[in-house]
Amino acid sequence: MKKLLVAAGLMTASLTAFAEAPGGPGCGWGNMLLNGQKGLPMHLLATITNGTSGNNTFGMTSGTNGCSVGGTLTYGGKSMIDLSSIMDEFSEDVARGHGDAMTTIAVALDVQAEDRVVFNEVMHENFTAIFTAEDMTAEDVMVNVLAVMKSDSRLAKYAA
Amino acid sequence: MLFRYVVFIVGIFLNFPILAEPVVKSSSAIYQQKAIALSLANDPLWLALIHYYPATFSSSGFKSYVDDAGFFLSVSGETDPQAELLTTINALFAAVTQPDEHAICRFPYRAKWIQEQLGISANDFPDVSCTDYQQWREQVNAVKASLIFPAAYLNSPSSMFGHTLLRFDPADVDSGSDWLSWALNFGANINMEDNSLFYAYRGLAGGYPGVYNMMRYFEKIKEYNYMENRDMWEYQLNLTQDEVDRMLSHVWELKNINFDYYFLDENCSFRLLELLELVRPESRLIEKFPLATIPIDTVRAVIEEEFVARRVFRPSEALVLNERIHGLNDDEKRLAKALAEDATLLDDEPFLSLSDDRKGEVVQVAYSYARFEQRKVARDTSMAKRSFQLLQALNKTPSKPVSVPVPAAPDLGHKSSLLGVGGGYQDDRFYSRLTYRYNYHDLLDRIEGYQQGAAIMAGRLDYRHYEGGLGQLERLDVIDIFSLSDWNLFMHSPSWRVQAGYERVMVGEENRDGAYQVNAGVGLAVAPMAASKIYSLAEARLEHTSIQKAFINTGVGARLGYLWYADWGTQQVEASGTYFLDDSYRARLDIKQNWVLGTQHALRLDAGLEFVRDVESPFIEASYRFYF
Repeated sequence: MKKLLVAAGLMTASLTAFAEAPGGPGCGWGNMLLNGQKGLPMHLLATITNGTSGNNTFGMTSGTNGCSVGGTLTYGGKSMIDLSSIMDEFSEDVARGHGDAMTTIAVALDVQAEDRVVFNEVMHENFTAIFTAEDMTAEDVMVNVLAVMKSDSRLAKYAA
Repeated sequence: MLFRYVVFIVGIFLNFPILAEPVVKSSSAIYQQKAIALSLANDPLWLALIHYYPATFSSSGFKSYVDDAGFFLSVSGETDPQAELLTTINALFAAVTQPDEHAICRFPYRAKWIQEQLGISANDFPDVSCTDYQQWREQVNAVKASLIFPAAYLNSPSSMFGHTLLRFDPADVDSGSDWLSWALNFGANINMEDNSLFYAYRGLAGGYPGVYNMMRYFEKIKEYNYMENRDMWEYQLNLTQDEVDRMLSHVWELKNINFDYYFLDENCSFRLLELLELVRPESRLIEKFPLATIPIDTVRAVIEEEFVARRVFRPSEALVLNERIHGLNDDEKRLAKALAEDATLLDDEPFLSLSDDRKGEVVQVAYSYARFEQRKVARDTSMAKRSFQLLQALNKTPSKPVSVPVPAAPDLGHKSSLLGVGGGYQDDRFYSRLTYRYNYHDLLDRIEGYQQGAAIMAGRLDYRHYEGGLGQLERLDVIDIFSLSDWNLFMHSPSWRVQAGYERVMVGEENRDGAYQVNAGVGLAVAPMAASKIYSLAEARLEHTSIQKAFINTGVGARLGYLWYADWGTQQVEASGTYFLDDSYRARLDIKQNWVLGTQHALRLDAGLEFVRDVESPFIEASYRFYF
């Protein structure tokens, strides 16, 4: 698997919150976890013709939910794919300690196969540290995930 | 140096590129002549690359499916393969100004193919590095591809017959990165300001342009498995690395390019067949679909043409939830449902008295069910709070993954079209009958590969030939959809049906007449046992006959039925009646039995009664059904 998380040269790591959500306003990273996502009624309209709603994407940027084109999503100075739309599923997987969304986050963070079990355990045990409130954003979640990884000896290297 | 600079400046002012042009022109002119001598413009691969199809009213005999000036380098390219080829050759040799916009970077498949066909040395082309294209290829990073089939979904017109898309995978996709693979979807680019009726109309009539989109596969998993509760079937293709490379280089050429989009034929599935046939021209995929392109039929064609290595099942969230619900006893089910609606019950005795393992199962069902319900509406703060409390509880209890039994794959189901021959007896007359159905599946057809309680038919014809020579059209349905959803403690989806067409009915006590009619109903269904359903619907009907006084006769009615699925076939008992505003009524009882003889063969028996006032007309019919 190609490294999806690429060190961005001279920028130093910083885990402080960003003034604006990565990718710009309207990008999925600012979506609140467990809250405020558009539901099925809106979705139904968009599926009538298997269509997409004007947001013409071709995988050129990481985002498909309104993230700014050409801009790079960054966390702690690293560019990253937009995982905000699977934060719901990720929260469930972390709560119970298994699931595809958690595996996906691990792969996106370049956690190697031999460390995935540790990743799952550490995430599961630190659920309350990662998910602190129901109205946190996907961005807050990522910041907490990286902080938890940094404090674990096996996972620190993936969050550095 | 100074001289060149001056000439360059002069060139700009004259808008005439002096320096590079003489060399360039001679190269491209030589290769253009070679292309003409080789009749390269008529090469099937060139025709496929520009998406030409034979068109009667085009002077060249061809027209492209592409409806976008940005795709053609020649102004007459849309209808002239030769002009497009010659202009492309010229463009490949053109001086480089913006590298990413140069023909070599914009149309990499065309460039490579022309280079190979004409024996052009790579050094002859201008030196250009395609940054955008290379970045995109690195990001997509694919060596394998899968054809993805999200199963039929009756509640969306575009998905009633299923949908297909492609997924591009890296080498190590099996190690858990499949959610991050790239999905390629062809669909209409819709205008969100239109209302939904307009969508449906424009989707059918071709009012929206069709475009390819690429997104991470998890966006598609969310859309189908989570939002629409559709199972997904993934058909891993046996494409070689070279075939995947070539396909992607053509996909790049289609970036932001508009096609005409038609719901019935030039749809998602047709476009994907084009891509597959482009990299394996010897396969005969497109010629199998002269008319409409039904997604599952294209999956079967792709299997027949030996593209498929293996099949993977990805169950919908609803199916996973159902499997977990089945693991609970009745008390636990009620508790899980109550918890989903009120998380404070986590602190009460019934929940606290459960063993740790059972707590885990109950909380998991409660959380999954809460999310399942919340996906249907815009979420509010109290929902979010409840979900979060359940998540915290889930975190403190043990959890086991659940595995869903894999159902029969949709490609193993009976084929979409049907021909039936048989005979019957009604009103003291014998008749022979012929049935033709364009597509797709009725409630009694062999269930393997289809969903229980989901029927959809477009274009169904019944013809009766009575003894003595009278031939009569008995039925011509344009559309007939019946969607039965189990109503239970957790699931509260209504059942519904809609049907429109022509049918012969009893009108008055003596007469039968042809009725142009549309009827629809809504109600609910329950599953008293596994593989059975009892349903009841309230209905409304509009019809026109030549006998009735009113031009349009309006009626209200009811329908009650029982459906049972067994290995050897399906059984249905159904009673229905309609009361019309002119104080007439009509009712019928049907007992139907379908015996499965093989995947594409069945026997069907239908016996029953038609009633009008004091008159009853019993009938019995039997037919052999062949699916093709």
